Amino acid sequence: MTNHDDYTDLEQEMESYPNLKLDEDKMQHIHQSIMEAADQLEHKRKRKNMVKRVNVVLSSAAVLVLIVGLALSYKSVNEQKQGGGMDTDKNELDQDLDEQNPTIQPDKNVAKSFLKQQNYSIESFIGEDSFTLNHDLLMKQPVLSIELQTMGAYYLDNNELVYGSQSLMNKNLTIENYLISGHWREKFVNRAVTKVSVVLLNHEVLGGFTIPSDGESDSEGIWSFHGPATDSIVFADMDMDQITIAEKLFSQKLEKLKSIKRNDAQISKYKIQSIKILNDQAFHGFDFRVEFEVLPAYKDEFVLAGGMEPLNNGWVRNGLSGKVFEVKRGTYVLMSVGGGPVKDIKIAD
Amino acid sequence: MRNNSWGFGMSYKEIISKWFYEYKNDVYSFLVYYTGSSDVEDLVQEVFIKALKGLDTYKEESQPKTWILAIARNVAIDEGRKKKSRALNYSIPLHNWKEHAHDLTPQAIFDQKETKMNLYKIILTLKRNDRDVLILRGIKQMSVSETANILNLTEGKVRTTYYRALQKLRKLQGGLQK
Repeated sequence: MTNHDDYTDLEQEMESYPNLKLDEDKMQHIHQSIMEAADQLEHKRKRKNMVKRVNVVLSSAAVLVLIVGLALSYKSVNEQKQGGGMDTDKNELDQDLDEQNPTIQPDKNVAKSFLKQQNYSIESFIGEDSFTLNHDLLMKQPVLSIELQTMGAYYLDNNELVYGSQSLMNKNLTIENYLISGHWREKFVNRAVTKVSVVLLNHEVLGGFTIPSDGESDSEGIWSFHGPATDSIVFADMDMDQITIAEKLFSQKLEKLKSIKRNDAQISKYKIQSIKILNDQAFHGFDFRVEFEVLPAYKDEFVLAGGMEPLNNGWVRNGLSGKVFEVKRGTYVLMSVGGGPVKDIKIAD
Repeated sequence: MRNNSWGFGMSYKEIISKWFYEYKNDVYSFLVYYTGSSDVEDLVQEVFIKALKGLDTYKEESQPKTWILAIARNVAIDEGRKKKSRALNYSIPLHNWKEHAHDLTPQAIFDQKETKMNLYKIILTLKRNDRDVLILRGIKQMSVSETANILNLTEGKVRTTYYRALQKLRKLQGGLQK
């Protein structure tokens, strides 16, 4: 039988091994080396801490500058808003404002500044889309509608958020005086408007500009026109005269669509296999349905937005009842029932 | 700067200096027995520099001594890997051996040193776990709890390993004597 006590001799033997001691000189030398290492480490730690503190101070300063900047900017805008509208050209503006919203104060200075900001955007927009209209001429174009697309599908009407889309059916309204009126400002600033589409009476679409939501600007700046330009019409809230005009324009578009359908070569050019107009007579209530299909190879070029849905066979269908459906060179524009332009769908040439 | 029971208001430098004076011989002795070489001054230095750099990670649950010896063990293992290919040259300085040498004849002293060296050589041939426990518990006379802390084992595991290591030691010692 073996037990722990059997190893007492071994344990005693091991216990008797000497507890070795470090030589005094070597000990001093080692200690000195360790202290030097400690000094270096301490120095590094201090530097690291200092860098951290500097970073914190810089970050705080940056935040402070940002806050001050925002505050000043806010103040400046408020001051302009309160005092800048006095010089406005009343003759032209009052007429518009009375018709649109009598409570809105025009603000020429801000509008001018806005127009100046837009100048470059509009020109570059026109340049991109081979428009021949110059900026001044464009600004004088009568406006058929100005549609506001808000977050969700809401829009502002007399500063009230209303579901649907809004059209400012004023044949005398030009883009320029609309912008100068300050009307846009009351409607867009601090509101949930995310997109504005301006449609000219001669149904040349100026395009739209995106309003930043949550105070964030998009990549093209705070007010940026975006394209591409296309023909489109907004039918909502029209009076009978306007509906007549719209109907006329729309029927032209339908004819155009049909002609495209018949022209296989052209369809092929646009890589569209077929276009079906399911109920092209169903114009009642400005509601009709279009369906288009593209070759499976190009289905990825259609962004699945709004009512777009992929079909089992790989084709893509617009499942929404659309208001405007137009084919231009390389560009589709799809308008949903109440929300303005849903998505510009580009098809490669 | 650390504020705690073992280094209230002391800088890292002061703490490591204090620990060096307190544990330098424990570390040195452990390293000599662990590596089988008396040329371990560089390793002692390395152990304390590592302790200095790792002071942020030191937890107060363990004693500084066991924490530093755990570092020493790791340093010794690393060193062992580096010198794997080299032949071990046992150079345990047994001149400090506190034995009643004056009661013994020179031959007896020589024989006892020889016995100790042989036993030590056998210890070094054991597997790492057995060797670790024998050096810490047997030679360094550390408690089961301290040994368990250094080796990151449970106390039960330390007891079992120690007992089995003694069994192996006895067996190998018997073989040598035959």
